[in-house]
Amino acid sequence: MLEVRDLVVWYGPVPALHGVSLSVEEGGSVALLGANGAGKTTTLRTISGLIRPRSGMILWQGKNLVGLPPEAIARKGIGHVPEGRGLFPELTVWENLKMGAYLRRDFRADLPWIFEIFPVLKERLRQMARTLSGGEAQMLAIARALVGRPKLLLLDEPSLGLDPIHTARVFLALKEIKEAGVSLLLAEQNAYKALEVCTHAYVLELGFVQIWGPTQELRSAEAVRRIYLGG
Amino acid sequence: MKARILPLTLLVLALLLPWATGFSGYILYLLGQVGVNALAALGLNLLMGLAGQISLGHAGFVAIGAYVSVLLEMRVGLSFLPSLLAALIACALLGAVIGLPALRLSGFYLAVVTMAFGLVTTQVITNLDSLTGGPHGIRNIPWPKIASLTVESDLAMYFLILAFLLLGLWFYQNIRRSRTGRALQALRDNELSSQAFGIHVARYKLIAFVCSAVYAGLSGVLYAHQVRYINPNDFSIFLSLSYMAMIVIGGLGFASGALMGSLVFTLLPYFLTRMAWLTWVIQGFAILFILRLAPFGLVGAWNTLKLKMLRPSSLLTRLISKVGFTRKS
Amino acid sequence: MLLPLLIGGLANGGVYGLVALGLVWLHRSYGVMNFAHGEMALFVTFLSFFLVQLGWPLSGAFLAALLAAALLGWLVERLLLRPFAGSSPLSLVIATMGLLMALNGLSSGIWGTLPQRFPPALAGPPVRLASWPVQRQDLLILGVLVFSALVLFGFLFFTKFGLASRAAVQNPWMARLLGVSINKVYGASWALSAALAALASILFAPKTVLTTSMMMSVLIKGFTAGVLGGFNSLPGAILGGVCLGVMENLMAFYVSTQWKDSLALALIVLVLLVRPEGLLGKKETQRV
Repeated sequence: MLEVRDLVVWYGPVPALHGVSLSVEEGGSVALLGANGAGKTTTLRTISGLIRPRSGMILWQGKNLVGLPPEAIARKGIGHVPEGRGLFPELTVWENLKMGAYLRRDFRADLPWIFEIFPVLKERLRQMARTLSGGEAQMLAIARALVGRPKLLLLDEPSLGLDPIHTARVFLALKEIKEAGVSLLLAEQNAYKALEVCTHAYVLELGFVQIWGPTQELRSAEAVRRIYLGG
Repeated sequence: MKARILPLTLLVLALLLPWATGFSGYILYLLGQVGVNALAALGLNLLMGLAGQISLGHAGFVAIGAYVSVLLEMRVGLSFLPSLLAALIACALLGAVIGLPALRLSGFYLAVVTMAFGLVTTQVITNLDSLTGGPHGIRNIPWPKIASLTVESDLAMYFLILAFLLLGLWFYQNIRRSRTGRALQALRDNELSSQAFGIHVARYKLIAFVCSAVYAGLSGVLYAHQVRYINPNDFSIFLSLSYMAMIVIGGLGFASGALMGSLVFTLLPYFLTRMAWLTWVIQGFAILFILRLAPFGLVGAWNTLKLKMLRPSSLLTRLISKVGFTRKS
Repeated sequence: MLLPLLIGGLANGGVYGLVALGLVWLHRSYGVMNFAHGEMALFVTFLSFFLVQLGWPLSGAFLAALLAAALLGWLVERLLLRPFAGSSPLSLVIATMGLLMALNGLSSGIWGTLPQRFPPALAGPPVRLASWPVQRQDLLILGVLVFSALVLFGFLFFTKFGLASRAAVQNPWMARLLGVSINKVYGASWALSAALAALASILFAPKTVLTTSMMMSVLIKGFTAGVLGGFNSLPGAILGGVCLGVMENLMAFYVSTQWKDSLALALIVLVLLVRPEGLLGKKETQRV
């Protein structure tokens, strides 16, 4: 469904990605692992159109997405929960959700399901998004992306800055989302948790894909253990 | 040495120009106007081009220079040079006063405040009509008298303006190359970082405002004595906008930019005699073009062009690529 | 004497408030201080005057002017400012000044520099309000102000596109990730801003003389109103405008009429130095 081929990205004179390739199948769940600065965020931002690559292709259901503006890519069914969540601070929780459904007509049918996964949001509907705690904000960001009924959901470090309880809740939610049929591409530093949810993984280091494969293989791979020291 | 040739040539040309034009009073008058505007434009260039502070009230200082010197001469009886000095001091003081709010304000708001200043100055002059003659202005301004000489011909006026212009240019280039100039440019490029580096932001901002006000005042004094009739409408916001157009199109920060801009836009209305409005349209669109295509103005673009043409390596590269020497692997 | 003063002041304030509303909205949604705001309005006001001279009914000319303003705003964004997308704010501001000059020149060139009398929308003798005479045009201005504020509020808070516009102010990239076509939002913001300015200008023109320099002082008062109310607050813009209008009139009556514009200057400087966020604005921090 999504195939990234030899993506090369430079930030001005600084190279960030040196030919990254990966693929996500329909209904699949793929983890993008690596330390800070490895290129995970850059990869996601290039896929969703925020960055233009120097070369390479991003094939979505056969069509190349490179060069399209973010709006157009969103219309194709790719949702992105960016690093830092990207909430609209002066809009209410409800309004943030409404924005998530910008490309759709009526999203009220989805609400029961959303509130099942993220019950805390139901209580905070009228509150301004900037008043939410870290965990709640993350829930809102994911819920907002879900409301758009994406086919593929890109998530950038959803567990960043969250305590273990909230982290567990987020990953539980991701499991449920996966079961509902949404494909996931998850960038995470917390490899342990990411590998619980995803079936495949790619490990990035300094802009290169170092290892990739099904989760089972990676769990036992020497290289992964080396990079993560059991983390 | 090479850098000196062009300015020296221009200087000689400027000195010989009256003879070359057959001492035509009309042309000398026009060139005098160019010089007057160039002085004001230099001042604004110091403020906007070097220090990066927007001012839409420049014409206000020109007005103050003009009116203070003229009133001192005609009502109090001072002669030219003392009243000139007084006018410059007045402008310097007011420049400092306007500079004070500038210390705390950033781009947009500074532009608004200076715009208001310009409008208010004109209003104040118009309202104090018993003193200033109000909207009718002041006529029959006397020719300048310096020592025992009276400057009363277009030729003499031309040389007087030229003298002051040269002084202004010399001072501008000196400032630009000095420590003060570098501090101002650092200020322009990034104010917060400048502060972090220990540059005393407030002091330099004030210096910029005071100097630019003095230039404007000088321009105003010379204007009043060349045209010998002033009224508040001569110094409207449209004049401030004109100066800004001159330096943006000529080249922000470059002394030659101020000269070039002043030359083009002082003379342009005379070529578009019955279509004064067209000058505005041209100035406006020229600003848009320049900002987009040649942000460093005409002078900046010319400099870039010179570099490109004279660099041997680039010439060679272009030749090679034309011949197809490099192959794609 | 107080009531007519107040109403007159409120009406002038309504004009300033409408101008400020357009300025503040554009600043919030696009990030630029549009110095050409007044001239854009002036241009379409001349256009509408021209249409009236051709025999159009005033209401038709009014509407045509509003539409022309919206179109002009949209065109300016599309053709003149989008090429400047990556430039510094300083460049953008200077660009709007260039636009100011060009539009002013065009207005003079097309319609001449002679002052004109613009017919008032509501002609007729002053209305009696509590036994004081009140100009009909003033009442109209107040009515339009309230109506515009309500319409704007309704648009921003009750429509999808309005919500998208507000979201785009807070985080334009995220809005794009959610499918919002940011260029449409910007174009609409410019159109809206220009229409508000045109509204103010057409209502104001009958109260003064229509010339090419008419909008300069109105623009500066619009800026003052915006600063007074807080340049990131829409209700503040209206409040600032109304306050300025009333203060001006009070000062004109009790002190003198000549110094009205100086009041605006004094106010701007005072507010920016003492309380830069204005009456209703929020404090902003600067990032390096």
